[in-house]
Amino acid sequence: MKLDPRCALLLLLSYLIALASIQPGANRLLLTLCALPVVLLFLSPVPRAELLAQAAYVLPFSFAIAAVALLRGNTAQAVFFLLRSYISILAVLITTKLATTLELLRAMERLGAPRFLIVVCEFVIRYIEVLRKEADSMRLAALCRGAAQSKLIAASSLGMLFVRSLERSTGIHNAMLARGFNGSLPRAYPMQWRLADTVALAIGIAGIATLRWAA
Amino acid sequence: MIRVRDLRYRYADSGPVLNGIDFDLKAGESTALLGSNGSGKTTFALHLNGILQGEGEVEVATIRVTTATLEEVRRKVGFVFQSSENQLFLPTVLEDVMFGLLNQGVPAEQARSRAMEMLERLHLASYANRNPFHLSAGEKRRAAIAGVLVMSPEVLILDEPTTFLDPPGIRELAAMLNQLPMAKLIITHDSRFAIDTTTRASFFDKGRILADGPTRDIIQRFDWF
Repeated sequence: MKLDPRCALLLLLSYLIALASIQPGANRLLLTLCALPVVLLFLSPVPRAELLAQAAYVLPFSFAIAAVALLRGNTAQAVFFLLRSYISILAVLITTKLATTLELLRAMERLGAPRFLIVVCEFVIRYIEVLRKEADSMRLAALCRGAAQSKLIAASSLGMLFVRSLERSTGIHNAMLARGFNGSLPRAYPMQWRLADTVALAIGIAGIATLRWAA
Repeated sequence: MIRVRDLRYRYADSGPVLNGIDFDLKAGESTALLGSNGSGKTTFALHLNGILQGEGEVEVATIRVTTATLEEVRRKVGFVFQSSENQLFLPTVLEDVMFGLLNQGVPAEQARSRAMEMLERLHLASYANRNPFHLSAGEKRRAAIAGVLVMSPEVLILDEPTTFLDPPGIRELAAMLNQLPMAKLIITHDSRFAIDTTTRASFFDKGRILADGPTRDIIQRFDWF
């Protein structure tokens, strides 16, 4: 049974808070909390290797903080920072695979995130593919006229891509107005919080709190 | 159904685009707007549901189009834009077709059932949960039309509806439009399509209507084949 995305987000938030509150040096506690997303990773129908690899993208950024600890000669603390950031990102990635991006955005909205911000994010996600097609067609048109350096084409086309994006956004806005758009996107599928979500949230938060504070 | 008097409009970055348009459309009538690119056809049509508001009078079903009446006017005038990709912006075809109904305050369950009925009518029911971007050009066009028809407009405006359609797709669209009872305003460069779907035509040139009459006569008069 699939959890309401709001429940998944609240559990994720609780977990991240618990993880962030661990003091450097509490390695046993860190390892205990790290076990949660790892277990979830192996129990959930998600692409494990892909997520493990994607989570590693954070390492160059967290290495900047870990480097300070390394310079002070504190290798254990450096490893602590790296592991904590890696596991945090892994938990976020698992959540994004268990619900669609749009479901998560709507859950954020229902949890109080500014609606305007959510609507902008939704449109960006929906139209990235359209913009990619626009960029591809411009690149193809340039190549057909003898351009050879695709990177140079991409750079010089950027301004035109913005102009096209603006035209497209005006067209989309007009089409929305014509169908009665009044500034907020109506929701075709209202979210339904069930008893199972309440139970899962209670058990999840209690479990995380126990691991973090009672251990 | 539509009454326009002395409509004038200019974009901020250009000269006048509409130079005093007088136009009438009766209930149930189908009219083609013909004329070269940049002659003002689309700009004119955008005034009919208040997306643009110029000088002069525009009335839809005796309601004067003003900022205060936009909501009511947009319930009566459905607009199918030239680019279906601009019109289809929600994650699934079904959600997109429901969009206008939800904006009108129709409850989600009722909106879903009306949207499904419309998709079935336009042979798109099997695409209800597909992403609109992954449809063919003809299917996108039908989905865009479904999103407007489901709102039961009294006037249907179609801007270049045959763009990107192959000949069978154009024939299918013409047959579908001919079955619809509401008044239709069709902006097109396709004279064959105009003859097949409309009884009357207005010929635009430099922001004016040069002539108005039976579609076939107008096409012949301006050699618009």
